Amino acid sequence: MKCRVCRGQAVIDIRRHNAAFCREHFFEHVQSQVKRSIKTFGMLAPDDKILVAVSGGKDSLALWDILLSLDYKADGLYIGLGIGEYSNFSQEKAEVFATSRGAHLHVVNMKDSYGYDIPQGAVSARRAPCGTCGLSKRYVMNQQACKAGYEVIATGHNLDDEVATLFGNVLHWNLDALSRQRPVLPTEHGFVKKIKPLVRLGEREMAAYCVLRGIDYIVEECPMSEGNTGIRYKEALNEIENASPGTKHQFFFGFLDRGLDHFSEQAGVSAPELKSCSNCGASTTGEICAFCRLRQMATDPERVTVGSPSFRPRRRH
Amino acid sequence: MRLWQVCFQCAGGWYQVCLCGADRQASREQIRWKAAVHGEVKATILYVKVCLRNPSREVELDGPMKVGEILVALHVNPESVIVIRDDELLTKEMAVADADSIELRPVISGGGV
Repeated sequence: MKCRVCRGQAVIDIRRHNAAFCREHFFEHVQSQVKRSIKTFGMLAPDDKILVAVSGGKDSLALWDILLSLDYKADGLYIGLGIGEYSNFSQEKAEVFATSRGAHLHVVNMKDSYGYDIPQGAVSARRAPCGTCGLSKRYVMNQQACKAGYEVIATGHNLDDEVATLFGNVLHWNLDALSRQRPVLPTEHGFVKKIKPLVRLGEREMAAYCVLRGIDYIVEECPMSEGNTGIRYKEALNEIENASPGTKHQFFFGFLDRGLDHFSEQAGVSAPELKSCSNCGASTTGEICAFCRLRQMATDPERVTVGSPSFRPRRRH
Repeated sequence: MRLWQVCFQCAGGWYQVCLCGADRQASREQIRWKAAVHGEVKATILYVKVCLRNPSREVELDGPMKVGEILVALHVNPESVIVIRDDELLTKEMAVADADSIELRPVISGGGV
């Protein structure tokens, strides 16, 4: 298999592009895809101060590496979730990467800073661990970005993540989520701008990028994600992609081009009014935001008002 | 095809030979027969070692094989993995020899092979 650019020995084939690349031109390909996303969706200005949400996994470390190599001012944020050895290993990977690149990594420990960790929060709130984790991370990322003066939060969501989410939203006709699934969420209602620069790159490309760049990431996955619906969706979508390369790309970018506006218009009509959380001041549809409610359940369950409408509020993806 | 690496002890020393041709098909019985004729025999069968993740395990296959053939043999979707040998990525038409170790690393976050 030959590199599409130089005809040298290829190290990876990307069937949806009907192309293969050698090491050097694969790096160029990855950078060009990220630059294209940044430009197309207006993700970043050259001087933006970026906070990269870093988990120690391939996507977030690759994203941080790419943004640094493109000369953006990007610091990392690692959130200690308290998931035993898995959290210890993943923090180590993030710290080793930061040290190797001379980059600054903020570390926030959920238990120390917010009084609970993910296993405890999931049990107390009787929610799926991934839901508890997602809610907690979104809140903490935003709060830390505001506190430290970052203009943009960058997350490592890649094409496969976005396609799996879209697939799930369509399967359940989750119109509210469909109206908000986009690569950029602007600064509004106290939320810092959030971007997903890897939306044009698949998970396989990100894993390959890390191996070729010598980025040591945590390969073992979160022990609490077992049975996760998103993983099943990704496996099913990969079967389709294997039989028909390019399907995932067409599904997601076709949605952005031809479907998103339709859902956004509908959602705009019925959007609930936002208020400030009486506890922390964050925007919410109820009296108290979902994060504060989760935190109360995890740290002081007797004070929780059962059945609050704010428990599952509008969520920014 | 399995490559048999056999050591014979005779005439006061060890002799290592890689069997080929008809001998490559050698069965355990033939090895035992050679042992009876030549004395003590040490035999090692070389395989392609394939490391899989989540859960971590190892399987052995008869080489040489192309990466694409290995994925088919193990029912692994090529979209779901990268294939690594000594920190280098392999594409599906590359050959893997006996005694090589490769890793099929899942790329789906939370997924396994």
